[in-house]
Amino acid sequence: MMDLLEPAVDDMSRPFWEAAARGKLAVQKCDSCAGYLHPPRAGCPQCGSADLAFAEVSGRGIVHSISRTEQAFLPAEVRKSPYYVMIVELEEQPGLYLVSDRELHEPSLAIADRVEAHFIQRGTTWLPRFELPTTQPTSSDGPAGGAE
Amino acid sequence: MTMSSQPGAAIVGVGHSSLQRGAQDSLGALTAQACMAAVSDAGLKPEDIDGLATYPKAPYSGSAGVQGSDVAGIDFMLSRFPWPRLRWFAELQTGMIASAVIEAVHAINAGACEVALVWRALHNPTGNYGSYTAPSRSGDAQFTAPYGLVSILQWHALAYARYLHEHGASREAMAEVVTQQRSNAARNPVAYFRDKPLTKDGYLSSRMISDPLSLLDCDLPIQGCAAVVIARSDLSERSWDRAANIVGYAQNLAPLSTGLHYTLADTFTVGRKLADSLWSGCGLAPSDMDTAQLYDGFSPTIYYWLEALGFCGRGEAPGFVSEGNISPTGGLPLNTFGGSLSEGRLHGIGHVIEAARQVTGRAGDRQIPDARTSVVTTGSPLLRSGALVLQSS
Repeated sequence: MMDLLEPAVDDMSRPFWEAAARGKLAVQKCDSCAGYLHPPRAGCPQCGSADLAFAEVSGRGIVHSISRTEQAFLPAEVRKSPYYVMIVELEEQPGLYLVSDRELHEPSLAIADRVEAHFIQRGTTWLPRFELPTTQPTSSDGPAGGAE
Repeated sequence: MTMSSQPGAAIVGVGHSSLQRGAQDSLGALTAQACMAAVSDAGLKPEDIDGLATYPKAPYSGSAGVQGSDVAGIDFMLSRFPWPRLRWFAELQTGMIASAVIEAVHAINAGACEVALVWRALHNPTGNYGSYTAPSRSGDAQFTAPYGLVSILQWHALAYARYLHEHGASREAMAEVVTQQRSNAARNPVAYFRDKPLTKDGYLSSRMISDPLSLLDCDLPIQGCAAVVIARSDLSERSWDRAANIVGYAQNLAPLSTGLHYTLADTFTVGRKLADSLWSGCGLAPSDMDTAQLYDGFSPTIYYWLEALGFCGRGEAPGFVSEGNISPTGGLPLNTFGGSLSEGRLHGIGHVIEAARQVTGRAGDRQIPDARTSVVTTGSPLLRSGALVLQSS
């Protein structure tokens, strides 16, 4: 049943998962307007250009929002509730979001906490998952775009 | 969008089926019940109807799409009744029920029909609502499902958590919205929770689903249908003394900033774009509204609409509520029928019907004195939502 939680990789998303298997986080970047975007799209929603390429990003960000899910949306053998789901805003660009999760037994996280991507194996794929940082931030300003 | 050069259209009849949980009646039976009630309320017979429109989509995954069983679209209606004068129909796949109403207005203005029946039927499946034995994990969901983010409820929870954080609001403030709506439902004979009073403590102790959304922040899944009859305004002036003219409308046009989940920023920017289109199209302003019937699939959606429509500033909705504005005696009586939280989830047509009743003086015990104009929203700002302004002559 765990395979229910494996991503169904497609042609557009394959570079994301191939990078993750190498321990790198990569998202699409627009050659025309230089904006990052995720999840993958056929064109840039900001400028309309179709010239997109995957680019590695730092993997550092902040917790944008977090919710403790109590309801058993998934069968217990797949995933037991409760657990946390969260949105991480990457430091490269305000509004560049990835999703992650958190178990109750792990150190708690709150909105505005710094996190960084680690990678765990899930079936045949490697999944980015955000944890408290083990490295120092590169600048004293910290991640961009803390407020909306 | 200017409608002044058109004959215009008005809601001239409304009808509900009974609203059921653990349904005794089939969706088809309830749909027929609501539609015939609306036609009869307009003083018409089915042979007077020459247009049909609906938005039939199931609000959950896994619908088998069986007509009259778990959906009731155009095919159901064509096979259920003879419609000898029928010459136009529309079945929308996006845009919620407001878009079906708007299509009917367009058809009437274009001369494609004169009297249209618009309905919304909702099936309530048995079992634990919103559980997924096999969640989608392809497309955008490949980036969410592996983490257990599988439900639109969790999307709303994440946006609401951000709202509480940014604006320093509390769940206690929302109690006033939810208990006021429950109190309003006591004066609505079709509301599912009409006989179920709710206290602030009762709200605050309800089971958490995905923090900060509890069970009573979620609309109530029911099986049922509601319908309206929309007629050309110049016909309606001849035949109906109490018509709710559709004087403004707008659809949600803006893209979301991410396909992964809902964000708080989008609730405002996307909702504001719809609001600008609505108010500029009809030449009216929030201060002209005598009631507001705002979509409440989840309770925070009410905050988002109050702010996006301009009834108060961004982050000010909890204060707007605590000042007493939304009560039946306040400055902006809100969801005077109980909303989807207390009437039951009719996906917005319940809101449309309440606005029509209020502006035509047909809201019974819950009538707001001298109400002439009302705004309606269907859907959250983050869905393909729509909005209407109804006004009596």
